[in-house]
Amino acid sequence: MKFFKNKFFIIVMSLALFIVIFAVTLSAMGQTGPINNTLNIVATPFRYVGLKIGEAFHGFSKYFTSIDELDKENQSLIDEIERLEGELADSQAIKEENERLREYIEFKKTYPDLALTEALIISSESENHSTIFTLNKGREDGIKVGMPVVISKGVVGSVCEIGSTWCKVRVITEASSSIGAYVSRSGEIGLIEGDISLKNTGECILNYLPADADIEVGDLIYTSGLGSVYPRGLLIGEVTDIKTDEYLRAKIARVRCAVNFDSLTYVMIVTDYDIHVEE
Amino acid sequence: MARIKDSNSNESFNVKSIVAYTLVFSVLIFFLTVLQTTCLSLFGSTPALTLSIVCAVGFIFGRKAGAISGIYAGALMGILGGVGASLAPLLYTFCGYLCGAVVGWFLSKNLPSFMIYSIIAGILLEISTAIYYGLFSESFLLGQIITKILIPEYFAFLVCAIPAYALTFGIYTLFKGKDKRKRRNFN
Repeated sequence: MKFFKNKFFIIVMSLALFIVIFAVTLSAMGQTGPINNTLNIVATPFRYVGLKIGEAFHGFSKYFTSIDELDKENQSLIDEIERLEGELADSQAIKEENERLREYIEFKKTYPDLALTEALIISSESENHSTIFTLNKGREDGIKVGMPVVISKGVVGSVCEIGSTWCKVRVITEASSSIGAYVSRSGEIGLIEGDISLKNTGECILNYLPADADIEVGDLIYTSGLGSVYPRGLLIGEVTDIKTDEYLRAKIARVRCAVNFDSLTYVMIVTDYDIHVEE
Repeated sequence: MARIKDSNSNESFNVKSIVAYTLVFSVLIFFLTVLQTTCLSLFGSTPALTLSIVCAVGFIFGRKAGAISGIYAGALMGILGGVGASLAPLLYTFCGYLCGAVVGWFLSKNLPSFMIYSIIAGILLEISTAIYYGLFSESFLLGQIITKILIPEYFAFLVCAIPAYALTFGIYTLFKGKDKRKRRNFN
């Protein structure tokens, strides 16, 4: 090309070549020239400024070059969070199961004569006039109609219908249910019955108490064992209100059930028990 | 007033302007060389800031200015870079001259055209770097050098080319404006 044959170009390139050769020679001899030394001294303060600017540039460029790395780290952290959330959910389930089993063991210790079968509530039918739970145990598990259903806190109800692998439980707040009961403090005997007007409040009525019965608000009500459906001594609830029927000359107590029927998941079916006769 | 004209450029400058440009670019190139040889890093590589300025000087002021700034910047790079056997003086001089010589041949004098020349200068820079590694590196692994050194350095150089052009053009316009004003006063 024409411009490469230019005299000026040849001179400057020769000069550049000379500088290169000169630098290489000095370097090979392990020496530094005076110009080199002087320039490096002059450059020192500028190097300090350069260092600061370089640090700023480095931080800026690092933002872009480390995006992939940050993305991978972010993904890894998301995976870690998902794994930990899974573990937390498992841990929560294990904790709940542990709590339930502990209650079961405590219940078993309190009532050693009861033969219990644990069951899971698989559906709940709650209408205006009835509350029925369906459990995952049935005839094949030795379940029979009329068997009491309890949890550690108290009585839930009794089995009212049965299939090969399922059964239905009528809760004690149902109008059609009745349980022999007594007042723990005084021993007064009555009959716990469901009341359709109280069903949604989780309460039932203790009927057939004598007019002079010794009963107070706050008394605990237990199953009496009369009627041979429920074993004696299972907690039903606590007296919240007492009324006297002047015509029938009887007292009627309102009882708040010990069991919260809305939060039930697992229950125990009492498959067998010894009948204790009071002396 | 005496005026100097680059035979390959239509630009002409008076002596005062030339002195001003020389001083400004000497300091600028010196400072940028220090900056480049200190710890400037972009995309994990050191951008050839000084080469960008040399190319811009050649592109805007003509081949002679490009070659002279190239030889100056190359020598500075050799000295301050701490690399004894640097090919920088040859490369910078050639690039500065080339950018000044080819301007106006195919493309006009604007930023996109400068970027095209910068792409070519960048390729020359990477060839020079590859030669340097080939000659002086004990374990020359071409693939590794391409991915870890040449490509990042190339893109860092191209990124720096835009501000280098803007800076050079800014300085050019600054003194050019003063030059024009003075000429108007003389007239």
